Amino acid sequence: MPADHTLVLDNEAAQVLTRVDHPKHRLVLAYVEGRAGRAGRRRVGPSILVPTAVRVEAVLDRRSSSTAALGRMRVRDVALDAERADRAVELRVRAGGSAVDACVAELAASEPGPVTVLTADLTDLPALLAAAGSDALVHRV
Amino acid sequence: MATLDDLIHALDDSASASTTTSVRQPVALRRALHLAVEMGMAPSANDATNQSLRAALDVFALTRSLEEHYAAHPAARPALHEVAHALAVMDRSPLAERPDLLERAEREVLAHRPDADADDVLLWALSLLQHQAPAATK
Repeated sequence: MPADHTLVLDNEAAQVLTRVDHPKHRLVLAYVEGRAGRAGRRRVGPSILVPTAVRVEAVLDRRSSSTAALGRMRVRDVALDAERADRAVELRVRAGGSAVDACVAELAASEPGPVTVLTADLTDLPALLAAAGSDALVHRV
Repeated sequence: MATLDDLIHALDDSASASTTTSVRQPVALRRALHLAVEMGMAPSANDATNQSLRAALDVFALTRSLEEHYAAHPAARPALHEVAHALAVMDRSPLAERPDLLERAEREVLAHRPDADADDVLLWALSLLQHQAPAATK
Protein backbone atom coordinates (compact mmCIF):
# COMPACT_ATOMS: atom_id res chain seq x y z
CA MET A 1 0.00 0.00 0.00
CA PRO A 2 1.40 3.43 -0.84
CA ALA A 3 1.92 5.76 2.10
CA ASP A 4 -0.90 8.26 2.14
CA HIS A 5 -1.45 11.32 4.26
CA THR A 6 -1.94 10.72 7.97
CA LEU A 7 -3.87 12.92 10.35
CA VAL A 8 -2.80 12.77 14.00
CA LEU A 9 -5.14 14.20 16.60
CA ASP A 10 -3.90 15.92 19.72
CA ASN A 11 -6.02 16.38 22.86
CA GLU A 12 -8.30 19.16 21.80
CA ALA A 13 -8.78 17.94 18.25
CA ALA A 14 -9.87 14.54 19.57
CA GLN A 15 -12.18 16.15 22.11
CA VAL A 16 -13.64 18.52 19.55
CA LEU A 17 -14.55 15.61 17.30
CA THR A 18 -16.70 14.09 20.03
CA ARG A 19 -18.50 17.33 20.94
CA VAL A 20 -20.94 18.57 18.35
CA ASP A 21 -21.55 21.75 20.36
CA HIS A 22 -17.87 22.73 20.31
CA PRO A 23 -17.18 25.85 18.21
CA LYS A 24 -14.37 24.06 16.36
CA HIS A 25 -16.31 20.84 15.67
CA ARG A 26 -17.06 21.80 12.10
CA LEU A 27 -13.45 22.80 11.49
CA VAL A 28 -12.09 19.42 12.59
CA LEU A 29 -14.78 17.66 10.57
CA ALA A 30 -13.48 19.49 7.49
CA TYR A 31 -10.16 17.68 7.97
CA VAL A 32 -11.86 14.35 8.51
CA GLU A 33 -14.02 14.85 5.43
CA GLY A 34 -10.99 15.85 3.41
CA ARG A 35 -9.23 12.66 4.42
CA ALA A 36 -12.32 10.58 3.65
CA GLY A 37 -12.57 12.00 0.13
CA ARG A 38 -8.92 11.49 -0.69
CA ALA A 39 -8.79 8.02 0.87
CA GLY A 40 -11.81 6.91 -1.12
CA ARG A 41 -10.31 8.15 -4.34
CA ARG A 42 -6.94 6.54 -3.66
CA ARG A 43 -8.37 3.28 -2.33
CA VAL A 44 -6.53 3.56 0.98
CA GLY A 45 -7.71 3.77 4.57
CA PRO A 46 -8.55 7.17 6.09
CA SER A 47 -5.48 7.02 8.40
CA ILE A 48 -6.72 9.25 11.21
CA LEU A 49 -4.78 8.35 14.34
CA VAL A 50 -4.81 9.18 18.02
CA PRO A 51 -2.16 8.05 20.51
CA THR A 52 -3.78 6.26 23.43
CA ALA A 53 -1.93 8.67 25.76
CA VAL A 54 -3.89 11.51 24.17
CA ARG A 55 -7.16 9.74 24.93
CA VAL A 56 -6.10 9.47 28.57
CA GLU A 57 -5.23 13.17 28.69
CA ALA A 58 -8.44 14.14 26.92
CA VAL A 59 -10.51 11.76 29.09
CA LEU A 60 -11.96 9.95 26.08
CA ASP A 61 -13.14 6.46 27.00
CA ARG A 62 -14.12 4.48 23.92
CA ARG A 63 -16.54 2.42 26.03
CA SER A 64 -18.60 5.56 26.59
CA SER A 65 -21.39 6.39 24.14
CA SER A 66 -20.30 10.04 24.28
CA THR A 67 -17.12 9.16 22.40
CA ALA A 68 -18.76 7.03 19.69
CA ALA A 69 -17.71 9.64 17.14
CA LEU A 70 -14.11 8.43 17.39
CA GLY A 71 -15.13 4.99 16.14
CA ARG A 72 -17.58 6.32 13.60
CA MET A 73 -15.01 8.72 12.19
CA ARG A 74 -12.58 5.78 12.01
CA VAL A 75 -10.07 7.38 14.37
CA ARG A 76 -7.64 4.57 15.15
CA ASP A 77 -5.87 4.18 18.48
CA VAL A 78 -2.10 3.79 18.45
CA ALA A 79 -1.02 2.17 21.68
CA LEU A 80 2.07 3.18 23.60
CA ASP A 81 4.17 0.01 23.56
CA ALA A 82 7.67 -0.29 25.01
CA GLU A 83 9.45 0.79 21.83
CA ARG A 84 7.27 3.83 21.34
CA ALA A 85 7.66 4.73 25.02
CA ASP A 86 11.45 4.61 24.72
CA ARG A 87 11.41 6.84 21.68
CA ALA A 88 9.01 9.29 23.36
CA VAL A 89 11.27 9.44 26.44
CA GLU A 90 14.23 10.15 24.19
CA LEU A 91 12.34 13.03 22.58
CA ARG A 92 11.41 14.50 25.97
CA VAL A 93 15.00 14.34 27.11
CA ARG A 94 16.13 16.16 24.00
CA ALA A 95 13.33 18.70 23.59
CA GLY A 96 11.28 18.84 26.76
CA GLY A 97 7.50 19.05 26.66
CA SER A 98 4.79 16.93 28.20
CA ALA A 99 4.55 13.15 28.05
CA VAL A 100 1.49 13.41 25.82
CA ASP A 101 3.15 15.81 23.40
CA ALA A 102 6.12 13.45 23.20
CA CYS A 103 3.77 10.60 22.31
CA VAL A 104 2.14 12.71 19.60
CA ALA A 105 5.53 13.66 18.16
CA GLU A 106 6.76 10.06 18.30
CA LEU A 107 3.69 8.85 16.41
CA ALA A 108 3.90 11.63 13.83
CA ALA A 109 7.57 10.86 13.27
CA SER A 110 6.98 7.13 12.86
CA GLU A 111 4.37 7.36 10.11
CA PRO A 112 5.79 6.68 6.65
CA GLY A 113 4.05 9.37 4.57
CA PRO A 114 3.16 13.02 5.03
CA VAL A 115 1.62 13.82 8.41
CA THR A 116 -0.48 16.66 9.75
CA VAL A 117 -0.93 17.05 13.50
CA LEU A 118 -4.05 18.90 14.59
CA THR A 119 -3.43 20.55 17.94
CA ALA A 120 -4.49 23.49 20.05
CA ASP A 121 -1.07 23.95 21.62
CA LEU A 122 1.95 24.88 19.54
CA THR A 123 4.25 25.32 22.54
CA ASP A 124 6.29 22.13 22.55
CA LEU A 125 5.28 20.02 19.57
CA PRO A 126 7.43 21.75 16.93
CA ALA A 127 10.57 21.27 19.04
CA LEU A 128 9.68 17.63 19.74
CA LEU A 129 9.09 16.95 16.06
CA ALA A 130 12.35 18.62 15.17
CA ALA A 131 14.13 16.44 17.73
CA ALA A 132 12.54 13.42 16.04
CA GLY A 133 13.74 14.59 12.64
CA SER A 134 10.13 14.76 11.47
CA ASP A 135 8.81 17.26 8.96
CA ALA A 136 5.22 16.68 10.06
CA LEU A 137 3.05 19.75 9.76
CA VAL A 138 1.61 21.06 13.02
CA HIS A 139 -1.63 22.89 12.46
CA ARG A 140 -3.42 24.81 15.15
CA VAL A 141 -7.17 24.27 15.44
CA MET B 1 -31.34 -4.75 9.09
CA ALA B 2 -27.64 -3.88 9.25
CA THR B 3 -26.78 -0.63 11.01
CA LEU B 4 -23.78 1.63 10.95
CA ASP B 5 -23.02 0.72 14.55
CA ASP B 6 -22.96 -2.99 13.61
CA LEU B 7 -20.48 -2.19 10.85
CA ILE B 8 -18.28 -0.08 13.14
CA HIS B 9 -18.32 -2.78 15.79
CA ALA B 10 -17.30 -5.44 13.28
CA LEU B 11 -14.48 -3.29 11.92
CA ASP B 12 -13.20 -2.57 15.42
CA ASP B 13 -13.35 -6.19 16.59
CA SER B 14 -9.61 -6.84 16.65
CA ALA B 15 -10.00 -10.09 18.60
CA SER B 16 -11.94 -11.95 15.94
CA ALA B 17 -10.50 -15.15 14.49
CA SER B 18 -9.78 -15.52 10.81
CA THR B 19 -11.71 -17.82 8.53
CA THR B 20 -11.14 -19.36 5.14
CA THR B 21 -13.71 -18.18 2.66
CA SER B 22 -14.56 -18.94 -0.91
CA VAL B 23 -14.93 -15.91 -3.18
CA ARG B 24 -15.75 -16.06 -6.88
CA GLN B 25 -13.01 -14.02 -8.46
CA PRO B 26 -12.39 -13.31 -12.15
CA VAL B 27 -9.33 -15.31 -13.24
CA ALA B 28 -7.67 -12.23 -14.73
CA LEU B 29 -8.20 -10.27 -11.50
CA ARG B 30 -6.62 -13.07 -9.50
CA ARG B 31 -3.67 -13.14 -11.89
CA ALA B 32 -3.34 -9.34 -11.57
CA LEU B 33 -3.42 -9.64 -7.79
CA HIS B 34 -0.56 -12.14 -7.76
CA LEU B 35 1.45 -10.03 -10.19
CA ALA B 36 0.90 -6.94 -8.01
CA VAL B 37 2.06 -8.89 -4.95
CA GLU B 38 5.21 -9.93 -6.82
CA MET B 39 5.74 -6.25 -7.60
CA GLY B 40 5.56 -5.31 -3.91
CA MET B 41 1.93 -4.36 -3.34
CA ALA B 42 1.76 -6.45 -0.16
CA PRO B 43 3.55 -9.43 1.41
CA SER B 44 0.91 -11.86 0.11
CA ALA B 45 -2.27 -12.00 -1.95
CA ASN B 46 -4.14 -12.60 1.27
CA ASP B 47 -2.67 -9.44 2.87
CA ALA B 48 -3.33 -7.40 -0.26
CA THR B 49 -6.95 -8.52 -0.37
CA ASN B 50 -7.57 -7.91 3.33
CA GLN B 51 -5.83 -4.51 3.33
CA SER B 52 -7.78 -3.33 0.31
CA LEU B 53 -11.06 -4.61 1.71
CA ARG B 54 -10.47 -3.00 5.11
CA ALA B 55 -9.54 0.32 3.53
CA ALA B 56 -12.68 0.28 1.40
CA LEU B 57 -14.87 -0.63 4.39
CA ASP B 58 -13.26 2.03 6.59
CA VAL B 59 -13.87 4.71 3.99
CA PHE B 60 -17.44 3.49 3.43
CA ALA B 61 -18.11 3.56 7.20
CA LEU B 62 -16.54 7.00 7.56
CA THR B 63 -18.46 8.46 4.63
CA ARG B 64 -21.72 6.99 5.92
CA SER B 65 -20.93 8.26 9.44
CA LEU B 66 -20.34 11.78 8.16
CA GLU B 67 -23.61 11.75 6.22
CA GLU B 68 -25.57 10.49 9.23
CA HIS B 69 -23.86 13.08 11.42
CA TYR B 70 -24.70 15.92 9.04
CA ALA B 71 -28.29 14.71 8.76
CA ALA B 72 -28.61 14.89 12.56
CA HIS B 73 -26.59 18.11 12.88
CA PRO B 74 -26.83 20.14 9.65
CA ALA B 75 -24.81 23.03 11.09
CA ALA B 76 -21.84 20.70 11.56
CA ARG B 77 -21.41 20.14 7.81
CA PRO B 78 -18.37 22.08 6.60
CA ALA B 79 -18.78 24.09 3.41
CA LEU B 80 -16.88 22.84 0.38
CA HIS B 81 -14.36 25.66 0.67
CA GLU B 82 -13.71 24.69 4.30
CA VAL B 83 -12.91 21.11 3.30
CA ALA B 84 -10.77 22.48 0.48
CA HIS B 85 -8.97 24.65 3.02
CA ALA B 86 -8.27 21.61 5.18
CA LEU B 87 -6.82 19.84 2.14
CA ALA B 88 -4.73 22.92 1.32
CA VAL B 89 -3.31 22.90 4.85
CA MET B 90 -2.48 19.20 4.65
CA ASP B 91 -0.97 19.66 1.17
CA ARG B 92 1.04 22.67 2.41
CA SER B 93 -0.44 24.58 -0.48
CA PRO B 94 -0.18 28.39 -0.60
CA LEU B 95 -3.97 28.28 -0.81
CA ALA B 96 -4.00 27.58 2.90
CA GLU B 97 -3.33 31.32 3.26
CA ARG B 98 -5.99 32.27 0.70
CA PRO B 99 -9.43 31.38 2.06
CA ASP B 100 -10.82 34.17 -0.13
CA LEU B 101 -9.78 32.32 -3.28
CA LEU B 102 -11.18 29.07 -1.96
CA GLU B 103 -14.54 30.69 -1.28
CA ARG B 104 -14.58 32.23 -4.75
CA ALA B 105 -13.57 28.92 -6.30
CA GLU B 106 -16.41 27.16 -4.50
CA ARG B 107 -18.93 29.61 -5.93
CA GLU B 108 -17.56 29.35 -9.44
CA VAL B 109 -17.07 25.59 -9.49
CA LEU B 110 -20.55 24.87 -8.16
CA ALA B 111 -22.04 27.08 -10.85
CA HIS B 112 -20.55 24.75 -13.45
CA ARG B 113 -20.57 21.49 -11.58
CA PRO B 114 -23.06 21.10 -8.72
CA ASP B 115 -21.56 17.78 -7.62
CA ALA B 116 -18.01 19.15 -7.31
CA ASP B 117 -15.87 17.98 -4.42
CA ALA B 118 -13.22 19.75 -2.35
CA ASP B 119 -10.40 18.71 -4.68
CA ASP B 120 -12.26 20.32 -7.59
CA VAL B 121 -12.46 23.54 -5.57
CA LEU B 122 -8.79 23.28 -4.71
CA LEU B 123 -7.78 22.86 -8.34
CA TRP B 124 -9.96 25.79 -9.43
CA ALA B 125 -8.54 27.98 -6.68
CA LEU B 126 -5.02 27.01 -7.71
CA SER B 127 -5.80 28.16 -11.22
CA LEU B 128 -7.14 31.46 -9.85
CA LEU B 129 -3.95 31.85 -7.85
CA GLN B 130 -1.74 31.11 -10.88
CA HIS B 131 -3.61 33.66 -12.98
CA GLN B 132 -3.34 36.28 -10.26
CA ALA B 133 0.40 35.83 -9.84
CA PRO B 134 1.59 37.39 -13.15
CA ALA B 135 -0.68 40.39 -12.66
CA ALA B 136 0.71 40.93 -9.19
CA THR B 137 4.28 41.07 -10.50
CA LYS B 138 3.57 43.66 -13.23
